[in-house]
Amino acid sequence: MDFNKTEDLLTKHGFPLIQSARGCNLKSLTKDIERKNLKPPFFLKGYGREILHKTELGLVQQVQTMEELEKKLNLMRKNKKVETFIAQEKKEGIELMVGALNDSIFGRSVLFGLGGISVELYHDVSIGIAPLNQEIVKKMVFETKAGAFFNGFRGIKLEYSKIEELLLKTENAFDFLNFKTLDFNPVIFGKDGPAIVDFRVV
Amino acid sequence: MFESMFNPKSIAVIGASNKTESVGYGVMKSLLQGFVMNSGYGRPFTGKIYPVNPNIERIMSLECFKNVLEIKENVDLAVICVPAAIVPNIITQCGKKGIKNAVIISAGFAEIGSKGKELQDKIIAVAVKYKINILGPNCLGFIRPSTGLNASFALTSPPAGNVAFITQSGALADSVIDWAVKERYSFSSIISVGNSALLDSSDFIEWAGEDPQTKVITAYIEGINNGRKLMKVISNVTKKKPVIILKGGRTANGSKAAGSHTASLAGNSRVFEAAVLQSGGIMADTVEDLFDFAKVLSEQPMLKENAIAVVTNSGAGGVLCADYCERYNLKLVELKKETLKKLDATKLMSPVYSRRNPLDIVGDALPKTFNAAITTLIQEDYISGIFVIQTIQTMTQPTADAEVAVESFKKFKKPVICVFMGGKFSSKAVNTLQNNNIPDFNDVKKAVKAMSLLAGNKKIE
Repeated sequence: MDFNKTEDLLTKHGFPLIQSARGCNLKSLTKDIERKNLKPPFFLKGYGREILHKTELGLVQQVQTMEELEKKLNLMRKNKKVETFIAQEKKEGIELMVGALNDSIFGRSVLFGLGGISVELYHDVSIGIAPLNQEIVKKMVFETKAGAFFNGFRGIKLEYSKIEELLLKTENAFDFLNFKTLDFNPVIFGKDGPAIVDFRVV
Repeated sequence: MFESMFNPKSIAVIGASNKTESVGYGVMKSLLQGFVMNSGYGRPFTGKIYPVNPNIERIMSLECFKNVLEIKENVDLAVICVPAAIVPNIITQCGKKGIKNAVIISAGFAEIGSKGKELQDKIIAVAVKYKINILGPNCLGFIRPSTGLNASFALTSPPAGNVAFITQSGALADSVIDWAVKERYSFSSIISVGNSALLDSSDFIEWAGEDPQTKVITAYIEGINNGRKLMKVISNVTKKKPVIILKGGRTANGSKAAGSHTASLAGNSRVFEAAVLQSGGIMADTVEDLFDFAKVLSEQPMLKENAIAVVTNSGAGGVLCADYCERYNLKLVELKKETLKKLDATKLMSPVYSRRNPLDIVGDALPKTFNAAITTLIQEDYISGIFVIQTIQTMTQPTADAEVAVESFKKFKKPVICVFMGGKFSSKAVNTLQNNNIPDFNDVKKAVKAMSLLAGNKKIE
């Protein structure tokens, strides 16, 4: 399924995707930014079906102005695998990850842990087997080191009910999306709750 | 459930043999005397045994039959150790004879590839047609030390106890048995599931859940095909007794070896672990942990609260114990003033005893000092379990100290776990503890892991 359709489905089902505009070139991207009334600074990202790690290829860039956006987009265009450009609002918070997996032995499962590049470094991930309930979700969250942010850690206390809601909702994704794995990574969790910055469906 | 398989009155051994190096010989010996090599454990099977082999007249003083159909009496269980190629025919004969249970020891099935898989599928088809329960193929058989039945070709029998061990590796079972004989780990049953053609680990965990001889269930699992079934079984069984799982094939390399080992794919191990824990099972990290955990859970009650005290005659013992308690989520209580008053009132404490938990009663403590300390602490309502950590000095009396621990455990029925550190001069004391269901470890970390289980922790690495 293509990116746009997935994005629409996730939005329709109430997943908190970050505010973003997209386009396959500068013109269409700018038009979408204007239509949605978004203002820089942005994260500018280059997507392509064959691209797994964007950061290493220079396909994730911060831009402060529309002029800078044009400059960086032109640089990204040199990579022929890039198919779509996305400009996302910048959001402050803790990077978490939420995922779903259709395991060949145990079936539907949901993942939670530290997100961003930390996923591969720390493997700070817990798994719950569907159907989830509040008790299972609680164990999942507080079993990880990331769970500390919901108890209060170094002045940061994230709202637990919102991650609980997102994890329970993620289980529902099996009902309207067809996938082996679904990644929401990173999910940036700020004062106003979580925002899914990036997603990947396999 | 599987009543006539695990409590049979009559057994046919198909492929029975007089050749000492054959599996058929091993199975016959195991049934007739309880072991191949005498370990001091194992009893002869008291029911009827029918050897089957068309080429032999008599085996070990018993009349030998050409096939199972020649046996006039009823047969509850067939143990099959003939070449793989003829196993489908043998199972058909068993079906015609009305035998409802078969242990297929023979190898050469799904574990060797597609040709073997075809043979295995044939067996499944026949077994389904005649409603035969199948254990195996490619397995060691099973042993029930608690009832005196050894339907395997294992080296010997382990001591009888109340721990069931269900294993996907027969070879592991063999070594565990040898080790159990030496270290006195004891078993209600050992079941080698092999390729799990028809019945898998989940089925036997479920059976062990019902088995009155079994108090704790352990399992070594490399891969399973039906994850939800395992979860359901563990959820149900853990309402009655603990289930502890050791998973093989946890890394990519391990999984590769497991795939070729028993022809089943090891599921994603992180998901596996999550599934076991979510269902109420316990995960062990090593073979030793698997059986240490089982021993502790079968011998000691659970902690009423996570509130522990330590009695030791060594500063180091106490310090190490406190360190590990933090790591394994155990709470060391703060001793109340009244408790210290009670300790002082015994007039047996050293003038320099620690007056705090861990309670260091100092190197020269005699059994009466241990007794005063342990009985005072164990009677406090706010203390739910006790570690006794004894190091050995010239005046230490390990056996008498062990008896103190035993008496307190018997009288107050709160968990007591010991660390009698030492070797040669502590061994008698260690025997006293073990004979009275008090787990003893030579290392503080192992003792803390054991107590952590009694606090209800399920993932202890």
